[in-house]
Amino acid sequence: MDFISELAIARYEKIGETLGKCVERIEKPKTFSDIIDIVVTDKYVGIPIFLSLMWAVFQFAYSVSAPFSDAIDVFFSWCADIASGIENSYVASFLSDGFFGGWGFVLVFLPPIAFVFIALTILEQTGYLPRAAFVVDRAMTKVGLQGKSFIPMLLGFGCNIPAIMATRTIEDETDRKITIMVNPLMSCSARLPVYVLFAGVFFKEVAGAVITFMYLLGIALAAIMATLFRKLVFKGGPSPLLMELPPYEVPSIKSVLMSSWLRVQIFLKKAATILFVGAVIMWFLTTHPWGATNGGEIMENSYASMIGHAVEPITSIFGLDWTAGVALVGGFLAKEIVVGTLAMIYGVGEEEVTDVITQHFTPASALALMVITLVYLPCLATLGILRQELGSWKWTGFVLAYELILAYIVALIVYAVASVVI
Amino acid sequence: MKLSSAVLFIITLVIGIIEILSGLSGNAIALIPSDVFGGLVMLTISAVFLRGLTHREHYAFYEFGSIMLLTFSILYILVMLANGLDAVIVGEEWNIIDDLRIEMILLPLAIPGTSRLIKERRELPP
Repeated sequence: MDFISELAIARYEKIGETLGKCVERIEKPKTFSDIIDIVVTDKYVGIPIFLSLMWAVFQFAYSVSAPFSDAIDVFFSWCADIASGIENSYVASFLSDGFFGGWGFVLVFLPPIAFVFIALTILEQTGYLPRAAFVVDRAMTKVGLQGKSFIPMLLGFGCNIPAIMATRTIEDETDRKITIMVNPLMSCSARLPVYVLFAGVFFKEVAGAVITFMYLLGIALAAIMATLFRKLVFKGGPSPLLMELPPYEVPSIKSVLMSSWLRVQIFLKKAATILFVGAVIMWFLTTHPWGATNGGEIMENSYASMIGHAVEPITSIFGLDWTAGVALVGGFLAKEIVVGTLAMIYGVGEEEVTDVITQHFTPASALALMVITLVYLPCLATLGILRQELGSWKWTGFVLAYELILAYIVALIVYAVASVVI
Repeated sequence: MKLSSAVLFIITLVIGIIEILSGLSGNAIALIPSDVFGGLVMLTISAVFLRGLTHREHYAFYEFGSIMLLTFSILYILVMLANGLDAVIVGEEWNIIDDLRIEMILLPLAIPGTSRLIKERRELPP
């Protein structure tokens, strides 16, 4: 136990001692919060209630926000179609694929992120989130984290950016750092298209189980790494969870929207810039040298192809050719780009890519690619947030290094086992 | 109140089990989708009602179980409306029957418990 915790306990003991001498205790009337707390902190149903509510948050964020994302997508696709009609092919390509494609690509993520913030703000302002941290504290302590780490970890399934930003609620600096450092291992929704594509093509009958395996693998790796960091890098145990449980409140719509908007603004300012620039860079790499690629028509001559061939000696260990290398490099900009890049390289739409994919991958190499996508590097926007929240390039570099090494080891094991078994 | 808890426990338990089984087998039944996670949520709600049957403060579990049922009913209605709006935006066909879930029909059953909770909020200190 650290000094601050001991001090807090000593203070409470002193307060209790003083109150005992001068205050006559009477039976405390039951409050509204007491009634709710009987249920939400119950030892049997407390954790299932918490998990159910978190599932509701994700349903709300991704299902209810879908029409808004699609509306944005439709609008920017319409803009891109108009821009593609410009006579100058270079300007047309830049505007349609780079500019409108880039902005559209960034902004389709805005609704789910905003909805996650709205849902979590509601839970926060009702006073439920502190109870949730209390409920899961014991399980988290076993892997070197604490109760408050659970919310950011869970948010990581949606998007690592708000998840890492949510670690600001953790007061202890070491606990916060460890939570940030293992958060990119939680499989964000941007990785899902890769799992769905490859599991659907190579593991049709058990596709759901394979996808679930990827999520469980992410959780297991995060738990292992958090334990290792706690034991090897940051000595000492996680700080005890000391928190006052506020009374339950009914949040006002205005305060929920205001609070959510403040968080969305941070996302827009920090992440959208990086994602937009990333999309433009991807356009540049796949269409240049302009003459050699014939305006993006001959992919083999592009800078992207050069990059793919440069990383091929590494990716070939997992049975992956240069096309997977380009997709993974693109995935560093944003994980959603992996599937889109493969479609671009093979010269087919995202729906037709399934037919071509079996010519470039085996079931074992597909599994390896999924594992690499899960572990290898956080996307560029997450990297920016990592740097911002860790406050140093040293720790950011450490995260990148351990993830690359971990991806290599885990993918190699999975590829070797899958090559024998499948 | 214990009778209401018992009835809601059985209803949510049966629905939860069917949703999980149909989710694992891939065979959806009318109004009950193939949804393993949705089924687990229903099992959780049923567990809250069941816990109330054996707990001294049984009314708290009945009220909270009811508000959970209400929350998920509203959530599924929102998802249904979002799917309809999405279909309009992307120009696809949408059949409201495909998105109807039994949890929406259970919404009225959640009202008595929720009303009790709202009443307690007015009467008790926060």
